[in-house]
Amino acid sequence: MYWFLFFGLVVPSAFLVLAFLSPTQRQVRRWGAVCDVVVTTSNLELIRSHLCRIRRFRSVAAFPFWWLAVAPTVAPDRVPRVLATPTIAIAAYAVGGLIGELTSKPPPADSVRQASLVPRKVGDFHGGRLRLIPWVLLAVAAGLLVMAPSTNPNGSHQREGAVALFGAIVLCAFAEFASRRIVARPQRSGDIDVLAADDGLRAAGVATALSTAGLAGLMAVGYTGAAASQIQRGWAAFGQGMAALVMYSLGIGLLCTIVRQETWGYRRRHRQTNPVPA
Amino acid sequence: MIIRVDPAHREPPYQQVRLQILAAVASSELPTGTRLPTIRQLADDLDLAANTVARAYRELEADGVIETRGRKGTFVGRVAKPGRAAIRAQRLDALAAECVAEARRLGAPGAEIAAAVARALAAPAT
Repeated sequence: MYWFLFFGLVVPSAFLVLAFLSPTQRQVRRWGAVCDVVVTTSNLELIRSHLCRIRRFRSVAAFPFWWLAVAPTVAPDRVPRVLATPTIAIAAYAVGGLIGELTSKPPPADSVRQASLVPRKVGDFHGGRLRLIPWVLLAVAAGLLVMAPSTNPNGSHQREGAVALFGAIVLCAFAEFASRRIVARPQRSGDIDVLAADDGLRAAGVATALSTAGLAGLMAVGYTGAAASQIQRGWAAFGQGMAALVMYSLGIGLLCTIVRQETWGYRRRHRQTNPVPA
Repeated sequence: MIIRVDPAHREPPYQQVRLQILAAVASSELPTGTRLPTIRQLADDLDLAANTVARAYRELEADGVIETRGRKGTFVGRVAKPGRAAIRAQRLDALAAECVAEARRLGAPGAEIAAAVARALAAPAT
């Protein structure tokens, strides 16, 4: 009961309260340093309010699901194994952040309307061909699922693998849609500091979408990999362990990108000239 | 480059968009081959109807200032140096006409307008 109350209710409640109190001035400045945006008096409010909005949305979305991960500690037989996992809460956390991005309203137009003539493409807001990685992971997962009946005929996880793959495809499609909508959001300002901050926030939103898709892809590979592989011994078991370690590390890295609202290397569309830090 | 549209201005918004792009091309602020935002993007950013921006783009394309390359987007066209000079002259004519019209509304005679322009030219550039 202690574990359930502490990790299922107390810790998520604390995170929820913290989400409504953040970001602090220090967190905003750290975000600016990571995203290469100088926080000035003109863009401070935009950055603070947008980061705050996303944090609230994702924490509220994830809050009702954290208890599922620790539910087996109080009712081991009542909660299905597929639900007793933090995956659902993590997915809700990521999707909540994306919903926050999608529902954020553009600033009202000034009496004299101003806009940048620099075009915006999704490719401007992430580095290289990173957008393809989640789809490659899904293709690997699909391949593993197809191979499963021949490589592991006695396996009992094929149904779970198929459900995970379907969920991952839905999440990837949603993330792709979200990243396009984030980039298409109107950018209404003639202030170069505001434009640079807005680009940084968009890049963080696109990175969240890509990380969500990446996490979904990794989850699908994990489940379908479990369905396709038998329990190994010796070097094969070592290989399996290493593969699991790499996937967990990648997953934690992607989750950190989402939590810290970081970017994945984007093209600077607007360079701040002699900004005065706030 | 920042584009500004004042809905209260005498010139219609499509003309303001057109003239600012024209001026930027003439001054090489937008060099040949520069990609321009899509009609929908610029219309959303400026909070204008898509047709307004589409009209500005259409007229610029008819003048040979910009070109649309299918799905790749809209780009600043290959405007030769004499072409840029012509665009600049066209823009200057429009500005002068606007200035003279405003001055005549104030009741100033031609000589006084010319003297004011000369004074403005003599003043240090800001």
